[in-house]
Amino acid sequence: VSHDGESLTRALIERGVLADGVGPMPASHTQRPWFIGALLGMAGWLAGLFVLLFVAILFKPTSPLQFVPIGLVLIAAAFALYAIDKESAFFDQLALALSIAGQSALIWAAEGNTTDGGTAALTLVLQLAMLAIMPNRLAKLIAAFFACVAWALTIRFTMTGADELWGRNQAVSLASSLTAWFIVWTPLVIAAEGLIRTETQWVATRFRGIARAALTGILASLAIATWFTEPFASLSLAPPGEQRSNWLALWPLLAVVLALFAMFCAFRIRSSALIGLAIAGALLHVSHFYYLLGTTLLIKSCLLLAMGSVLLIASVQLRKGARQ
Amino acid sequence: MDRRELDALAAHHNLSHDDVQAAYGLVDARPGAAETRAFLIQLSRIAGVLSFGAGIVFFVAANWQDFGVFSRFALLEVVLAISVGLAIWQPAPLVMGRLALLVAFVATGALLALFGQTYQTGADLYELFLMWAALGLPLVLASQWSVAWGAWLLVLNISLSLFCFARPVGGWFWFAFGRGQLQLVELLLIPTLANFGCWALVEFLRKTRWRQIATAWLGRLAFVVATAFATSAFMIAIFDDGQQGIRMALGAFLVVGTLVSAYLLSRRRDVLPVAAVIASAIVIGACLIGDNGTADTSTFFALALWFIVTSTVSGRWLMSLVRAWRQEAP
Repeated sequence: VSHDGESLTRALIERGVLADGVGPMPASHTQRPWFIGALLGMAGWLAGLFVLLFVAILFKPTSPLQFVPIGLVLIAAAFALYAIDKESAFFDQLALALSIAGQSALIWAAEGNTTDGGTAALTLVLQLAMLAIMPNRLAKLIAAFFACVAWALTIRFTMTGADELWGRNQAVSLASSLTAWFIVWTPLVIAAEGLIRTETQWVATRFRGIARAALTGILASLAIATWFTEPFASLSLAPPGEQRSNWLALWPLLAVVLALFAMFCAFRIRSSALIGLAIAGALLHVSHFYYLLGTTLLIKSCLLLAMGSVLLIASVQLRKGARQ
Repeated sequence: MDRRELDALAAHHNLSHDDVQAAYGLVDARPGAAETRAFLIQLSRIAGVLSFGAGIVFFVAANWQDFGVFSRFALLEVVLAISVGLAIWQPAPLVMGRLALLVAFVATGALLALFGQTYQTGADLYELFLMWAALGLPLVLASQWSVAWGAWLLVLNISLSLFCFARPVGGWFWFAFGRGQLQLVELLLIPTLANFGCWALVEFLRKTRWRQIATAWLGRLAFVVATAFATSAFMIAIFDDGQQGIRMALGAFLVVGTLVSAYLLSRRRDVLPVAAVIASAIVIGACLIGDNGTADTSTFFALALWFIVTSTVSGRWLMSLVRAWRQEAP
């Protein structure tokens, strides 16, 4: 088993896959650990928000629509920086900050001119465009993750209505809640499964950058995105007696199942970082499930006990299968 | 090799589908059927046990009136007794013993919560978690399992966070640490040192026969939590003018941070803790800029520039450490 690029190249030459005499990969391809990517991504995000504030104070736009040209210019500048110099870490970070600022400006403009569902849908289109055009791995990955979040919010707002964070005591039926959940997450589960199964095919094409970012972004969203798309109405501060039945409160429990699936997918692509993210996501979803109003703790308890039983039975069956 | 390197290799050599499959086979990029099954068995076991434990906690917290207090105590005690019984029958490090002890640890916390709720002991919330960590320690020790230690570390840190930020009056820690006389920044030294202590212990145990339990992720978790507490202390010191006479505490944080950083750089093994220290320094620097500026263009420009420049420089430096330390690794 080979463990680095040089020895793998040698092994591929020995097998006749590569022609004799091909050179090793450049050193710049050395693996960047996830935590350095996370540090760069978070710093880029924060820098982007401050760039947007700087631009907003500098140009003092008086209406949301005036953010559109600002956003487009910032995104164009980011694209140019990425495209011109792909080796400079400074320009990469500057481009990421400008890109985040530009996208935030466009979302701000959309928010002022359409409904919450419309804003989420426009954000989805914007993120998909960023995934397709941005010539940078981290920018594509962030776009893929937020495209999934925007997709989830679009469906949720369209099906169950937008609600204020602490405001309306919304009642959502079990059927609506489950239907919305399946519509949101089933396509993402299928997409993740499809991308993993066809991995060796798309790695051999020029779409590998988009596909890899999409796969990682989808798995990250399956692990934690329910926190970004949480059923706000279930957090209503209405007294218990006035609390209406809101089955959106089931979403965090279903999110645990998604996190377990994400963990399994991450294992299949040997990504320990995504496994860790999915473990953290599953634990957070359980605590989220505890605090959400909308259904009783007794029902939640029964659901957790049932899920635990199913999982333990599954482990016994798998073990039996392994012995046979 | 990870997927990024494999993608780069495929792009560099313009590999075909068959070539990529050959490369994936050579580096064992995809788990086989037996490995997948073993992973699924472990995943469903741990998730099932944790789900079951959470279900019991939720059930007790539901305070179901048709299920009296006596019955609730009986339920938890039965769960605890069965778990301990299973752990004695199939002792750790056997899987059954480990899982049973993890359930016993969860049940201990639920039992303490029910006790406090029923008898209104007047204990602060942090004391519940502290007591849970203390009483659960033998179970975690017996489990010889990093997952159980991770759960214990989580409980301990919840207790320390509640003690520092909720500022309770009373309890062991309150008597032990200044009886309310200490500033928040000074109090935050306790969880910082406790977590650095846990990290140091893991580092030490990794050189002994206990390295199977003292896994790298456990040490990393303790280190990151310690750094988060230290960062919050500096942020509070910067923004809260009410914190007086804290120079000694800030000096202590700096001394600890310097010693830890010096150790990390001399050990030349794991870059993640170095990245955590750098992330902390970037955040503290941004807080200083924000505190000394006003909400105008120059401050926002300076903050944006600060994040871009510091992350660029530190990203490059960390990558150089990754390359160098990887080459030196045995």
